[in-house]
Amino acid sequence: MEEKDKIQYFFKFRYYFCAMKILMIEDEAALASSIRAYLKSNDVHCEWAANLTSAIDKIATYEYDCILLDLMLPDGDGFEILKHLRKEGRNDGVIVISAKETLETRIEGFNLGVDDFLVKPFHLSELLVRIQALIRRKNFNGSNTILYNEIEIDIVAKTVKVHNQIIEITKKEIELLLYLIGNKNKVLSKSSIAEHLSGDMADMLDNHDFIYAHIKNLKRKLSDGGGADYIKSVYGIGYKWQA
Amino acid sequence: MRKKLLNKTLGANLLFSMVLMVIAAPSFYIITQKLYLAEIDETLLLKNTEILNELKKGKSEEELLLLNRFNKDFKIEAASFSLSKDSFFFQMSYDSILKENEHYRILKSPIKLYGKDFILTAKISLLESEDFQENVALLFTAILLFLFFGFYLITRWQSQKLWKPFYHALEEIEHIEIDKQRMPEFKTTNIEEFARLNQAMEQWMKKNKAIFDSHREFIDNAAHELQTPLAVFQGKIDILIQRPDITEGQSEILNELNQAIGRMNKLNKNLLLLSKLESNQFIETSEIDLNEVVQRQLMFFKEQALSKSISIDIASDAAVKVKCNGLLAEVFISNLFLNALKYNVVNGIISVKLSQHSFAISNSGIAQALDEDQLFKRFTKINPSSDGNGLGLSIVCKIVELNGWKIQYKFKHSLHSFEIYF
Repeated sequence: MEEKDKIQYFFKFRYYFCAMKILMIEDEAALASSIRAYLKSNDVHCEWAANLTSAIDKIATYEYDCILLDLMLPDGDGFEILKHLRKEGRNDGVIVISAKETLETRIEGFNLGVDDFLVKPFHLSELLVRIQALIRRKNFNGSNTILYNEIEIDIVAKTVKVHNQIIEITKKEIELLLYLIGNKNKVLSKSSIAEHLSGDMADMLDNHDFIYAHIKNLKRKLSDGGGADYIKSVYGIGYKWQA
Repeated sequence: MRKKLLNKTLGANLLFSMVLMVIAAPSFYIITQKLYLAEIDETLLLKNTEILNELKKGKSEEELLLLNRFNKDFKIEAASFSLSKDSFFFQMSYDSILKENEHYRILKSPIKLYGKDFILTAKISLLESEDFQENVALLFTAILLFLFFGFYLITRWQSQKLWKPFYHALEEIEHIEIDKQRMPEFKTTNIEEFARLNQAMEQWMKKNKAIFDSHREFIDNAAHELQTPLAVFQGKIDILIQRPDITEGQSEILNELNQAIGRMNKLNKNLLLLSKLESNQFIETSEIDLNEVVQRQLMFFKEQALSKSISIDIASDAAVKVKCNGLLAEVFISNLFLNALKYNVVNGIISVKLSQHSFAISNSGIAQALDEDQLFKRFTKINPSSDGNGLGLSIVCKIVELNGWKIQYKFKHSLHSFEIYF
């Protein structure tokens, strides 16, 4: 096997044969159970710690692909976990999921090695793709390709191949494709797609109709390349990548 | 009419001095003249008595006439008319030496000599008195002028000195911005009233600041506390829509719930942003090229404008650099863009004009001007049926205020336009 194929195989392997293992440190049980349920069905095994002490216990025992960290915990500041990880010389990926978000906490967080920030409230689908992106970055080996049957997405070069043929596609459409594949078999609401594509701007919009145009274009481009029709519309709510 | 305090005090003082002068000057003149005349009359009487005594020592008639010849100041003549008692009067006569008419005070006294009636006339020139009075008047005027001037200077100096703490306090109060962290600093003063004023102001400020802070904190805390339940809500909906057994009716309900929570999120985010703006969390500024910001956002908004077939027209200078917080620059431009889109009509237009000193965005929309007083208030919606939260323009307003810019709303040629001047 060539080097490139090895890498592709590695990712394919990680994605489809081995579940990612993450630790969620979050004191709100209702939110924790939702996150867990959502991630589980997309091959992410999620352990849960509701406070600092149990989180530190768990970190001592396992190494995680990613840690989801709430900053306000009943027995202390979530940043303690980061300090602990640094002291131990660990480089587990960390995504902060917090309600309190200021410039200072962001700066402090990044200085302590936080990889990403997600402000509450967020869509579970968004959390999932952030986790996937973080793990991809952590395992980056010069090339970063995602395979899905006949579809191959090169994240670095920003190209998409269908049946090994490069198709013409916009950056927005690649983002959309990654989002859909990352959340395969999940119903994605229009608002979550809009937010993913337009960030903070999206939650100011009244109208998420522009999603429809993007979906339509993406579907056409994939099918023009000979790809199967994976994108299904879900009545009234949104869309779904049907595996 | 508004006048400065100093001018008011001075005005009253000067008016009083003026009245005093108008009354005092003629009365002074009249009184001095009266006194002087009385003095002269007395002198004349004395002189006549003296002459009479001299005459009584026995002088011949020739001697008398001789006396007349050498004496200018008195004359003894045979009575050509009968005079019963001493009488004074004024006379004007030509002086051959001074070559001018001169004023004299004259006393005529009837005397009996050698059995005949004579009249003794004594005169004193009033020339000296005129000079004297003139000098007195001059002196008087000079004194009054000095008095005026002195009054003015002293009052001004004293007022300025006295009212200094007051003016300082006034200036401090004028520069109060309750949302900024700056509190007024009053100088200590030994004038009791001002000290009291400063103290009262300070207390009032502290109280206001406390109210303002607790109001801001309340919004901040409420918005933050809402984030976790909102996250739970959002998460549960995300889970619920995954169920395969959802009917069409249920999915409609879920969609509506999803939209409602979207609005809640938006509202919450805006409240957080406002509270951050009010607690000055965006102090860091840098040179921002607004043209770049506009161009960056244009893609997104052009896409959004498609569904309403709105055309966006941009006129801008090359680069427009302003000193501003980067995030806030993005926020104010996107908020204005969003409003222009949201309240637009199908096939409408949006026109953006960016120049070195202003940013203007106009859009078609309802055919009447909006109420300017309500426009920038929180939670005031231009269109009550829209699902906006009425915070967009308050945020813009706050950003404008924070940067010391100005914002203006105009309705012209059926276009609603917002213009910001840097």
